Amino acid sequence: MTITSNRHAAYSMENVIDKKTRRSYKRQRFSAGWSLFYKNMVGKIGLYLLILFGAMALASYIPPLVDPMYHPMTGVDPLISYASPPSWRHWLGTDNIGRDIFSQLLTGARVAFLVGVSAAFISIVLGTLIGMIAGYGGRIADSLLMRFADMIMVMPSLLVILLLSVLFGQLSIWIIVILIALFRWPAVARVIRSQTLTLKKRPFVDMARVAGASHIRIIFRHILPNVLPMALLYMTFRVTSAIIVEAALAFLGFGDPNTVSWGMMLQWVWKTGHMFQAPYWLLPPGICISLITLSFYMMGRAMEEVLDPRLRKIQKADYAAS
Amino acid sequence: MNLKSLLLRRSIEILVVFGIIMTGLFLLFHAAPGDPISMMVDLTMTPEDVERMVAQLGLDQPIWIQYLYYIKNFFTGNFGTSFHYGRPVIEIISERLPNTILLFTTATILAAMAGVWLGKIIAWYKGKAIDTWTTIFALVCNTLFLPWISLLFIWFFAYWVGWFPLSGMMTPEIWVNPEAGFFAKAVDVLHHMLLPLLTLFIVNTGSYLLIMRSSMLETIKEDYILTARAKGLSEKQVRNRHAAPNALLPVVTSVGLSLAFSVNGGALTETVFSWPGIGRELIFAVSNSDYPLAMASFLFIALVVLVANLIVDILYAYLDPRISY
Amino acid sequence: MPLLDVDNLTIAYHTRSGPVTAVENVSFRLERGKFLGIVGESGCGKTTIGMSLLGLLPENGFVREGRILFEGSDLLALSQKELQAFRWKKISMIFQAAMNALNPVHRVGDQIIEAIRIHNPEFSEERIQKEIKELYDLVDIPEQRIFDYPHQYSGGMKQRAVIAMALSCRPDLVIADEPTTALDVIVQDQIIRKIKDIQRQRGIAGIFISHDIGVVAEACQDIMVMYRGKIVEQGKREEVFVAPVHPYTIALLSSHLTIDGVFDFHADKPEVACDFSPDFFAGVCGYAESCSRAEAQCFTAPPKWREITPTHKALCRLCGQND
Repeated sequence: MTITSNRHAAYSMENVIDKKTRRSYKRQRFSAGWSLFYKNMVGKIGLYLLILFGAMALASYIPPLVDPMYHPMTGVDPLISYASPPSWRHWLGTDNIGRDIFSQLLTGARVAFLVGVSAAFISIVLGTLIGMIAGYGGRIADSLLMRFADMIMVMPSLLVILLLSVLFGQLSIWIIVILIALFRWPAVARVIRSQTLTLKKRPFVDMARVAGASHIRIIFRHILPNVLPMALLYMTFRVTSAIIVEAALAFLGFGDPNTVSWGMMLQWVWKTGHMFQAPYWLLPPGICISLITLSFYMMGRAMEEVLDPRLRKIQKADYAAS
Repeated sequence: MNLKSLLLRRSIEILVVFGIIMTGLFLLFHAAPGDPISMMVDLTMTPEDVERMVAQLGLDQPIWIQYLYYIKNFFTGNFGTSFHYGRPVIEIISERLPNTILLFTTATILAAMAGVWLGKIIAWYKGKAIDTWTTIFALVCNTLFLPWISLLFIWFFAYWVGWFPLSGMMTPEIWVNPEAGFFAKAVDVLHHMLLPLLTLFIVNTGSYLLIMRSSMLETIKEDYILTARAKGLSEKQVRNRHAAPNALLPVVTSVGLSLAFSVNGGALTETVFSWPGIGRELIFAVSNSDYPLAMASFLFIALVVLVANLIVDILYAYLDPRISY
Repeated sequence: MPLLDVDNLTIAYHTRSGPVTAVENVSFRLERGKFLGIVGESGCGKTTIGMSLLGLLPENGFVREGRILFEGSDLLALSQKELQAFRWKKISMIFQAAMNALNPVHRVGDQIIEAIRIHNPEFSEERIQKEIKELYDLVDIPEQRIFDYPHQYSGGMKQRAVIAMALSCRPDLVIADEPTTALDVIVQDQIIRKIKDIQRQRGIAGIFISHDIGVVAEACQDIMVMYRGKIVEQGKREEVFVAPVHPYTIALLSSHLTIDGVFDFHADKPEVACDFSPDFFAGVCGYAESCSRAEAQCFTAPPKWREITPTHKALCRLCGQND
């Protein structure tokens, strides 16, 4: 009763109700959603984990300030030039040339957030735009765009990016971000498209059209606000896949050599043959990659339960592709 | 729609998509910085061999003729010679592809069966502690970073406990020994395969379980489930005969959609376990700038994904009478 | 002994904001071979009553008080296993939306056979084949369509198949929950006729749930009108339609044009008696706010049961002023 009828009222009386009341409706909806989210154990765990990783990313600026030897890339402990187990000097030990693993791990969190969030953001923007155009634009635009999306969807993104890096040489972290985004929008576009298709038939869109609104205005003013929650939900799933692809690239030795990422740390363990001797080096980056993807995924699932269940049904099948 | 016309349509679509992928690859190759001849032909070969290769691949011709050569060479299986192996690419691929298909299909089928079965059961306990914990466990499995968990498994099961070989697919002694029968060889391959299989199985099972569970939860709300209960069926009969077959349909669709993503994982697993498959070959070729091998491996992987998609379509049509009848 | 005796049934649902009552103090009896109609707008608790008779309330629904006696035994006391054996064998149901009531991945015939087989494990294969052919004959679907899939049936055929399924175990009571809602008028008419035929041939009892008073008028001997979870008027068909007492019933009837031809309720109305039975409800009349005849007392004191004839009663405070 409460949530839906509020929304209903907010639409039908858009001009009658003053701004203040509308804001309070929004606040009510938000707090109702938030309490639902917070009751969900999965969502709560995800949120706490994310806060932890956020703190790690922020803390990554500290170690190099303490002592230059804690710099994740260039800082080498003058006394240690081999992989050493955890100690007071190096909380998680050092790698084979004496760099501090803990400060590398902190920097990795920064890179993971950077890659994950920016790639996800670009792919969401692309996916939402293309999805809305396909859904709104009628048959030809729809089938062309969706065929194109299907085609990208059957491409193993990691392998394509690898192939590009052999053809065009070393890729920088920003190129990697953009490439990941270019390969991960189709699932978003599919969902947004099917939502746009149902929205298009709703009376308020007809009303806007009768009132003389342009297509651009209808898309951005009337359809976009309604598909935005879904797009945001998808962003959390995109973040996980972006982090995984970047980590995998770095693990295979195709990451940006100017940054430390968790995938790259794993590559160093693996390639230097320390995986059997140095569990203190092998475990932390892998745990971090797995946990950060897990936390975004958990957040996404909890958000999904908060969102209108009708939205959910549409994209049942699109799940795994995320 | 009947099954035959559906299959025909999908096959044509797949051919078109493959054609576009091939063309895209060709264009990328020519857009890349560097001389196509030095990229496709190993210049350390004798000059006559180089000349023969150049002629065979049409590299001295204008670009559209080169494109025609490229297509013709694909269908005649001529992909040039691998820089690294010094052998025709097609030979290497025909050795590697079956290994990939063996590992990948076994893992996918086993994981799909286990995940669907578990998801089906767990959905019936929605809200109970067992459901919550299984879901969290499945989420964890699903998000494990594949190369890392592979390394951990190698470290633990192969190095520490010593149950499995560290890497590879075969033990040379057994394969060289002329007295070893088919059975001994099969056991040897299986022994090598178990660990990579386990890795892929754990990660994939988690995701199938989650999809099946949410699909079951949607299906349970349908009216025919109520009908089945009203008919006096036991809960187990309702679940297995009425809910599961319907809940399976979206799962099959999402398996198809996620195939490309699992191919990424397959290639990573092959690499870490040194499983001589085509995914590892691609990564290896990319690391060595072995262009002919990399491009051909990529094309074949794309082909495998497309064919697998077709198989998923057939499976769907088989499971859903609304399509096949 | 009546076939079904529902006594003071109250059903509620757990919701996030506490339990909500869906059906309140409902009592009625049903004799063998008779049809009872329950009329009311959507959400008034009709379907909840139907579901409770089969023990199929949704997970958050529960019977707060009351009894359901079927052939003298208490349905609410049955174990899960006994309930499963009881369903369909004794009480079966024709569901609201036939297109969704059939499982799309199984052949229609198999779904009917499934019910027969579960309740009659001793039946031979020939016997089952014979039964299903009879059933299809009864509902006028050609035999060769038995093993088609649901999506190959038309809407009316699906509805008839669902009726065949409901009759498959020869139940004593069939609950028909909006059996014709999704169908067009002509098919509706056929289905109602079919149900009446079957009732005559097999002598089964039925509960007919509908928001469409015309449908109920055609098929049922007894009528119950529900509003917001309560029965507001019940009686024999003739009584309720010719001399409606409760303003809600009147409103319902006058909004329905086709009734006029069948029963002329504006004509000679019998004298309305005015004896209130002892208090039945707490709380004021739920209809008062929408009622065109409401008086001040309707908003302050609870309504009372009035017995117009021994079989006809209404839950309304107003007396003799409702014309």
